[in-house]
Amino acid sequence: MKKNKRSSRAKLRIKGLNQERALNSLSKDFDIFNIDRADRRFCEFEVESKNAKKVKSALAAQGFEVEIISSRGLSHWLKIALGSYGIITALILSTIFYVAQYGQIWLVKVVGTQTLDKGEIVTFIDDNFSRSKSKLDTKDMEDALKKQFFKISSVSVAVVGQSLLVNIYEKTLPPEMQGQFSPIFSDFDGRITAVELVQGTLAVKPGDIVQKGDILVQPFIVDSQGQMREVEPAAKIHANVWLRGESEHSESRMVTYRTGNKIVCDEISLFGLKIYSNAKEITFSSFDLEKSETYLTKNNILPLILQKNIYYETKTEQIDQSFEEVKEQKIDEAKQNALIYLQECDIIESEDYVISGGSGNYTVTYLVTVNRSIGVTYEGLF
Amino acid sequence: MFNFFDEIKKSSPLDGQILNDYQIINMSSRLLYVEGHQGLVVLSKEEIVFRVKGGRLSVEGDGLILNELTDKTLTIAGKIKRVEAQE
Repeated sequence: MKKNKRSSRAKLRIKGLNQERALNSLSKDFDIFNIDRADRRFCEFEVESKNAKKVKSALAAQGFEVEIISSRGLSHWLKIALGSYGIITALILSTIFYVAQYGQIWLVKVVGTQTLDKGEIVTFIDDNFSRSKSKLDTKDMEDALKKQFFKISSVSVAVVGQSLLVNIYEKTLPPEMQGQFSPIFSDFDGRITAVELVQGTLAVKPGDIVQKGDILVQPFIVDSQGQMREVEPAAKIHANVWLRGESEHSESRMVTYRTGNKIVCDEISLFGLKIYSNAKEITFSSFDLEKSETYLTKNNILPLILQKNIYYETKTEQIDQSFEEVKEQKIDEAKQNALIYLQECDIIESEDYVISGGSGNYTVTYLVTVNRSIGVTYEGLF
Repeated sequence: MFNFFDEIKKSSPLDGQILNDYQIINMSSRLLYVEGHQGLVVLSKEEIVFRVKGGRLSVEGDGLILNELTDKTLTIAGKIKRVEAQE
């Protein structure tokens, strides 16, 4: 028994008389499979795809009507593929594209950076080196990167597939060289009371009045040879800082207050459509309105929303009160407004207040002088 | 190499020459394998008749398909009801 090769066959249909004889004749030269005679006049069978044309010719020579109704198997598909201009073109284009892109670097991956900007390194590589593998000299790139970025201690560049892997080791700076060499700025308005310089060059001295943003210590020193060297500035600077608070009073003023009467209206809506409302007539001549919305269900399958509107009745009255009556209260109010700015380690040096204004309108300005440590880097100012 | 038919013939008391005419294996009345046929005579869904040395063989059944046909062998698939040798 021959091996039943099912992988590559063509199915034929023949029409004619005495098909048994024809099949006997064919079977001497070709293997025939799955002979199915559905009708006396028709017969379908399979032969190996490679023999299909020969079988067709042989049967046609015997006067049969022959039709190849289907083909299957690798040879069949290869025949279709090789006969189709579209598929051949696509194959050629794909091959060309593959070969072309194989020689290119598609991704630059930078690893190991801590302070250096990866984007800056990628931009530098793009601007100065080709992305073609054949033109890329990794040794040159390593040298150029080291030259361009002084923070790089060592760098290794490797081509991995379609990617360029840039592995960077940054220099570790000594403590006195760390940081951005930003000056120390004053973060408050005040008068300098004490200065203890650790590192850098002082820009102020005790007794100086400084404003927020003024430079206190410059980020450099001048060495014994007269050379300027950048350093991270460090100092302990104390200053008297003025904390300011204000309160105002008008001897005649209009005051609006809630009387305690209120009307509550509820609405329930679904998808923006009002489905329930107990709206009432608002009889108040003036009122404050407070609105609140609450979901009645925990999920959003049925988003029922309860809207509660509360109308508070209000009244406005004129109040006449002399400044002398509330003077102490207003001074205390101004003081409290100043003390809001008090910090934990502040030492209160003095307190004072000034009353200004007239014609029924008064302003109390309260000043609290505290002694505190000042000085921040540029980032700390904001 | 092991040959199924040769092994059976060795254990048979009959004349070896006669036993070489043709061979048939019927598997569960679903598949019939024939070696040594001499040509197809009738082919239909209900009956397949083929020549063998010394006569004809008729295979009757339902939904018969000639699964494979070569110069010397054939395989019939389908529901095989009867196999008859005709002079």
